[in-house]
Amino acid sequence: MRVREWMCGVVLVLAVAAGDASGQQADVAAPATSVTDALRSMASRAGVVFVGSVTRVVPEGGVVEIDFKVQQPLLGVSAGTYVAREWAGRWTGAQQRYRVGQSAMFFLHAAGVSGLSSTVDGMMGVVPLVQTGGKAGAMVDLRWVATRVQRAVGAPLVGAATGAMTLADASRVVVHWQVKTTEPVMYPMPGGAKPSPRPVAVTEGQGQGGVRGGMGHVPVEEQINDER
Amino acid sequence: MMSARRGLGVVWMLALCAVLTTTAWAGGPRFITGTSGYAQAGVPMAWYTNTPMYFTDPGQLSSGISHAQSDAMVAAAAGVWNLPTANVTLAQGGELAEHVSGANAYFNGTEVVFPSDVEAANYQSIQIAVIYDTDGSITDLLLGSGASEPLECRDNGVTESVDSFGSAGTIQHAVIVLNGLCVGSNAAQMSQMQYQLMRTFGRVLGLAWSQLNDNVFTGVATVTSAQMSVWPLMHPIDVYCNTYTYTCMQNPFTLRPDDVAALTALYPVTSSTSGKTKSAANTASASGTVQFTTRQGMEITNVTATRWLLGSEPGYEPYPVVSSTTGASFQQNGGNPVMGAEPASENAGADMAADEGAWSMPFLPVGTGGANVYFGTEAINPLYVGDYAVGPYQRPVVTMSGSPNWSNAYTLNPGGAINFTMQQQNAAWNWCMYPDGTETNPWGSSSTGFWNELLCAANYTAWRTTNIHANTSWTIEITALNETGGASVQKLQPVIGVWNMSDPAGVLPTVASQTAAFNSFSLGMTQLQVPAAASASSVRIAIADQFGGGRPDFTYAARIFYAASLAPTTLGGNGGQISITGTGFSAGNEVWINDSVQATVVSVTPTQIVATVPSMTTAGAALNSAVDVLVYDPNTGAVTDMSTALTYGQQTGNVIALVSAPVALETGSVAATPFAVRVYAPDGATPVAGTSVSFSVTGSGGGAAVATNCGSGTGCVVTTDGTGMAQTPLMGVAAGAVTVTGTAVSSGSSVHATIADANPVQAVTIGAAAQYLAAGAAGNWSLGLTATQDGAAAAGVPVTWSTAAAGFTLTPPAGVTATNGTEAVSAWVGAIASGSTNVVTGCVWTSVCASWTVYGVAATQWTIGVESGAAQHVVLGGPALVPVVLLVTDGAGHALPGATVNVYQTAYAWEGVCATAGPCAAAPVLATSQSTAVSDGNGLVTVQPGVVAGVAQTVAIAASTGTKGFAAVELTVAP
Repeated sequence: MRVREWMCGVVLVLAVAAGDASGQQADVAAPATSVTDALRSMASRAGVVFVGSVTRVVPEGGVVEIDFKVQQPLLGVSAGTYVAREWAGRWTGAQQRYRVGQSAMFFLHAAGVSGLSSTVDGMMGVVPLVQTGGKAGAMVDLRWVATRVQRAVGAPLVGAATGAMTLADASRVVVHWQVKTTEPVMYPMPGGAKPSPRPVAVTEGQGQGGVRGGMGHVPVEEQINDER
Repeated sequence: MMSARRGLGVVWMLALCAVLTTTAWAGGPRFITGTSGYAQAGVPMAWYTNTPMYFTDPGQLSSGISHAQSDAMVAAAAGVWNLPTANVTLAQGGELAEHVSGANAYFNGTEVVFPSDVEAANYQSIQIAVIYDTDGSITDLLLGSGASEPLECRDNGVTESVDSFGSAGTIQHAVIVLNGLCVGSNAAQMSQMQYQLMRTFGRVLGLAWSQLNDNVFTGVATVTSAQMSVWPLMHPIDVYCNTYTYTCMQNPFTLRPDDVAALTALYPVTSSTSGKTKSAANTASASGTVQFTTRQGMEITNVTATRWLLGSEPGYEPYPVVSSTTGASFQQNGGNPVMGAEPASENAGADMAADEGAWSMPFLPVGTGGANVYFGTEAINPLYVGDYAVGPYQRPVVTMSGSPNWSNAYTLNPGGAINFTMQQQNAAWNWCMYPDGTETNPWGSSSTGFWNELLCAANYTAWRTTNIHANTSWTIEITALNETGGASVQKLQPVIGVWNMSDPAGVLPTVASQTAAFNSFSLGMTQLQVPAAASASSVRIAIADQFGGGRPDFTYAARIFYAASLAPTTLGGNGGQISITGTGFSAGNEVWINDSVQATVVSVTPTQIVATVPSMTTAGAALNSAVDVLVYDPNTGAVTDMSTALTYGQQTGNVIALVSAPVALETGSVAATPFAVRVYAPDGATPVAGTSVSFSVTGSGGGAAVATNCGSGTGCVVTTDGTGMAQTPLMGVAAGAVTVTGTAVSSGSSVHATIADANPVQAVTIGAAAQYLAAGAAGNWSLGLTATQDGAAAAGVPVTWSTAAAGFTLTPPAGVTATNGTEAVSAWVGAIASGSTNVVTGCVWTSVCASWTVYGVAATQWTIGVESGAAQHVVLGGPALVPVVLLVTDGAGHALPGATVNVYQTAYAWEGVCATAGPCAAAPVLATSQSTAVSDGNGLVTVQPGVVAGVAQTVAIAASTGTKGFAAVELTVAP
C-alpha cells in the first residue's frame, strides 16, 4: 500500500516535527503545512485517485454503490467507469455523501477485503472541479483541503483569498506526490463559485451601551411579556 | 440611549399566537422525517427513549491504555450531553457480549454483519454500541483499506452510524467505532479521541452541525476570546492549529449555549420531574420566517441571536450566542419531471411552503432577568455541505439572497415568546409570473434562441417547445445566474429533459435528458446535446432544479443552439458563401464542413451565420455527395450538426454571397451597416459587374423595414458595381423580425438575413421634485425636462408643455430640445387653489411624457415648528439672543412656502426660580408685540426675539398659521 512507502519519507518527518511522544501505536501526524502538502498527503494514502463525475448512486442493501465516469485517471485506476462501494451506515437518514453529476478529483481508499471503500480524509477527499469555460481549462476548488492546513487560532484559512489551482497543476502534484517540487500557483475562485460574502463581525466592546457600533443598525426595542 | 423596556404592546400578542404553532428546533436537526414511511413529514428526529444506553466493547481499545480508561473516556464524552434542562440521559448500560473485531464482523457480500447484539435489530436492548476497534480492522472493513491508519485519525478515529429509525420519526440505534490505532499512552491522543467522540455523541443524539461566530473558523474577521467561548462544539469543521484539534478550542469539553439550545430543542423538559429542570426556565422562545420580498420563504439561511442580558450586562454581547437555520423541515429533494420523484433514500422533509423559510430557537437563554435580543441573517458557509451540513440539507449551499439583515430588538422575559418575519433586504424580488406554459401546453421558445427566466417556486418546472428539422442535432444550455446576472453554481442546479410533443405527460424524457447539473465546461451551465432525429419533430423541453427547488433568485439564461437551414445548399467546386439560419448563435461560433474543415465565418447574429466555405477538395468532399455542416461554440462546447446539408455540384449560373447586414435595426433609424451582397461568376470567385440584384424586405411578428435604396419601398432592383457588389441601407419601420433577401436576377441565386427590429428606447424626465405651496399663495417655478433616446441626449425634438391646473400659465408652451436634450418652461400661478393638485406635463415625440406636480395645501393642514433657536438661555450683558427660525410644513414633513404666520411676543420681567411651596409669583409684562410674516421658499420664518434692553427677562414667542398650526418657545435672559 502506498502509504507504507511514504511512511519512510514525509510521514516520518511530519511525525517527528509534531514532537509528540508515541504510545505503542504510530503517532498522529501534524497537519499539513500547505495546501499542496495536504494534496500530497491525501494522494499518498489513497488507493485510487481520478478526475471524474458521479453518474449513479444506488443503495443496495447494506452498501451504496457509486458509479463514476473516470475522465482523467491519476492513481490506481484506468479511464472508463469506476464503481465504489460504501458502507450504507454512512448514508442513513437521507444523508447524501455524493450527488449525481458531481465533478471532482476523487481520492478514495483502496477497497478492503470487504470491497468497501470511502474517501480519504472524510469528504475532504472529494475536491470539487470548477469549470471556467472555453479553452481555459478546469480548476480544482481546494477550499476544503485548505481547512486541513495548520494555522494559528484566529488566523485566516490558508488560501482564503485564492482557493483554486489549475487541474493540470493539481494532477501533477497528485501523480508525483512523492516529489516535492515548486509550489503551483493558486488562483482566486471564479466569481460564481466564490464563497458567499461573510457578514461583518461584531468586535468585542462594541456592545456597550446597547448600540452596536459600525454596523448601521440600531435595534428598536420591543417588549415581549407573554408566558408560554 | 433607548429604554431597555420600552413596550409596543401589540407585537407580543401576535407573537404568542404564532409561536404556539411553530415546530421547535434550534441549531438545526440532523435528521427529519420524510413524506414516506413516517406519520408526519418534516419532524426533527430524536431518540425514541430519553435514556438511550450505550454499551462498550469488552475488549481493549488499545494496548497502551486499560479498558477502564477507555470506558472512562467514553463516559466523559457522553456525560457532556447530560443536562438538567434536556430530557435525555446518555449512560452506560453495560458491555457488549463480545469484543468486536475482524473475527466476528465481516461483509457477507450484501452488508456488513456485526455480532447480533450490535445489530440494529437489537435496539430495544442496546441502543448505542461502542466498538473498541483495537487493530483498526473494523474501521478498514467499513471504510476501506488504510482508513484506520493514524494519519486519518482526525477523520476516522471515531466512526458512527445512526442506522435505525422508527416509523414515528425516532432514532432507534447507533454504532460507534473507536479506532484503537489512534490512541496510545500519549494522553493527548485520548483527549483528542474524547473530543471527537463527544462531537459524535452530539451527532448520534440527532444534532446537526451549527454555524455561529463562523469567523472563528474562517479567520476572515478578528476572532475574539469571547467569540471563542461561544463557538459551538458542534461547529462543522475544526480549526487545525495543532496535531490535536481539541487544543484549538477554549474549554473543549464544555457545551456552549448554542449546543445546549440545540439539545433542549430536541429533548425539552416540560415538567420538573426526575431531577430535571424545565427547559423553559431562564429561556424564551424565538422563531420566525426569513422571506424574500415576494414573501416566499428563504431556505438555507443562518439566523443568529444576540443578547443583552438585563440586569447583569451593560449592553449587547458583542457576539451572537445561538443560531438556527431556515428550511430544515422543508423538503430536501422534491424530485422533478426530468429525473422523476426523489429516491426513497433521499426522502426527507415536508412539502409545506410555510417551512421553507422557517427557523426556531425554542429555548433561547435569556437569564433570570430577561434579555433584549436581536436576530440577524447571514449566509451559510458554502463549505458546510454534505457531511458538514448545518442541517438535513441535501443540495449544495444556496448563497443567501440579499444582504445580512437584522431584526428589531425584542425584550424577552423567561418563558416569553416571539415569532416574526424578516424580509431580506436587497434580495431577489422576481415574482412568480408562470411564463412557461405547462407540460401539456408548453410555450414557444424564443425566436433568437436566447431567453432569461426564473424557476420561481418549489416544484416549478419551465416547459417550452420548439421545432427541429430532420437529421439535425442541437444543444440546449441552461446557465444558472446569481442576483447580478453572473453565472453561479450556488443557486439553481439546472437539469434538462426533452420529449416529443406527442409523448404522454408524466413520463421520463423520451428524447434526451441531462440529469446532472453543471455538466458543461462553462461555469454554472448545464448542457444537453440532443441527437438528430430521422424526421422533423416538435419537442417539449423541461427545465427544472435537480432538487425540485425554485425561488426568486433561481434565475437562468437559456439557449437553444440550433442550425435550422442552409442557403444555398449547393456550391460550386471552389466553394463559396453560405448562410446558416438558426438560433442561439453568438460571436466566436465556428462552422465546420464535412466534420473536418473549418469555414471562415463572415458574420454572426443570433439567428444567422454567414461563412465562406472552402473548396470541395479542401473539404475532402466528392462531387454531388452531400456533406455535414456543423456549428460549434468553443466557449461552451455546444454543437449543432446539419447532416448531409451541403453539396458541391456543378454551378451553371452566377452565385450571390452576403457581404454585410446590420446586426439589428431600430425603428425610425437607418442602420449604419448596409445590406450588401456580391455576385460572382459560376466559378464562385470572379465578381460580376453590372448585373442586376433584386432586393426584397419582408416582415414577420409585426416587424417591418424599408430598403432605402428602393425609396420608401420594400423591394427594388440594383445593379452591381465594379466589384460585383450591390447594397442598400435599411431603416426599421416596426418592431419585429425582418428578412432581407438579395437575389441575382440572372441565376436566381439568393441570400438573405433575418434581423430583429426594435423600437428605440425613448425617455423623458423632469428633474424637479414635487412642490407644496400654501393655499392662496402665488408661485413661479422654472422646470426643465431631459429627453433621451437609447440612453443618449435627444436634440432638436419638439416639446409640448401642458397643464389643466386652474390659474396656471406656462411660458413658452412649446419648444425644441437643445443639443443636450433639455428644454425649459416657466410655470406661474397667482393664487393656488386650496387642496388642489396641479400637474404640468412635458411631452416629447408626442406621446413620451413626464410630469411635475405642485400641491395647493389647505390652511387646515398647515403646521409650524421651531427649526432653530429654541431653548435659548443667555446672561444679561453676555451674548444676545439669536433669532428663532420657524418651519411651516404641510403636516407630512414637506416644507410649505407662502403660508401666513402670526407671531406674538411677550417679554416678562425675570422672576427667578419658583418657591418650593406655593404658586409662582406672576411676572410683570415688560413689552408685547404682534407681527405677521410669510414663509419663504423653504417654508421658513425668522423671528427676532422682542427683548427689552438692559433687564433680565423671559421672552415668550408664540406663532400660529393656518387654522390650527401653533408653536411656542420661551427664551431667557438671566441676571
